[in-house]
Amino acid sequence: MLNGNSNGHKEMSDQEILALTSQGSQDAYGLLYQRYVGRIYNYVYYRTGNHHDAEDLTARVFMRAMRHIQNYQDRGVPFSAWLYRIAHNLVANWHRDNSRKQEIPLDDIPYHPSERQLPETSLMRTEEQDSLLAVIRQLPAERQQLLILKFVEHYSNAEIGRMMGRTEGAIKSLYHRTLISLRARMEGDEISVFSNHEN
Amino acid sequence: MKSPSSVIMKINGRHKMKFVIPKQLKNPSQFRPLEHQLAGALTPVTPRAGFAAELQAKLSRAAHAPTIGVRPAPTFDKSLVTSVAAIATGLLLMVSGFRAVVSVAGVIVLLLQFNRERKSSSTLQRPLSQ
Repeated sequence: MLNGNSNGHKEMSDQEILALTSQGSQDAYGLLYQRYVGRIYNYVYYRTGNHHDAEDLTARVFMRAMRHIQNYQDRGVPFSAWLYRIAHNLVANWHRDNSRKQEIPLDDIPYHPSERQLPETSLMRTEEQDSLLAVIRQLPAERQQLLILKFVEHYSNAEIGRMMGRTEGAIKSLYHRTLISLRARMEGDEISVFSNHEN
Repeated sequence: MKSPSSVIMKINGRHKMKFVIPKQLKNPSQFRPLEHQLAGALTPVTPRAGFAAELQAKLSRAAHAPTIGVRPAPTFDKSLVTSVAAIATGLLLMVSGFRAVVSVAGVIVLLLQFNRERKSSSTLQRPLSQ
């Protein structure tokens, strides 16, 4: 059960699978899980910044989705939007809980890649990229989501708009404002992203 | 030097036409370096090997747990329960008095209420890692 490996389901749309899920098919939910587990993991990883919490929160997202999938109503937005909304809420709770704990400035923490960090990830991440990611995590949640959907998942503005409940134009505008804000924050943090370009 | 926002061109050496250059096209590469940085930093990550399978197994176990997932369908038809309760009340009225019926009904209502609250609290407090 919940394996989602039946070949007949592979080519089905999310709506067709959801119809099966509403009839209590565990295999159908398994297929949805396989489709979206990577995307949700990526989203949570970039919102939290570590693999340990990404695993924990991804598990919670799919647990919660499974509990409430019977109540899911198709309102013309993609199913992934519903999952991202659950992930967004759980990440917000995670940030709220973490903000109550003692905060240590990032500069004071020595960099020791954990054993669970994937070697290819740690090799590819440069210090500059880590700084950029730290700045991205200071942005408001919806701007972070926009950047993740655009650059990690390569969704178009129209698709992102459908997921975030906005028009394509609003997403373009938000993206533009996000870039301006990001650049201002980076200049404020004295990160020389543009030094190579200007020189 | 500021780039022009419009260009006036002569067509066929006679007609002058003014072309307005959209603001976005004036500075097409304004954010290009930043976008390159973002594309480099925001790359898909792969979860730990075995994570997806472990979570799938956990979900499968949770799906078969009795209180997680869909609320169990009622085993009785509501109308059947109502009619049985009505008949029982009538019999009780015939056998004993009005006070006894009220007392029994009160106890039943209290038990139902207690059971409902217990169910809702257990659903809310159930840990995720089952």
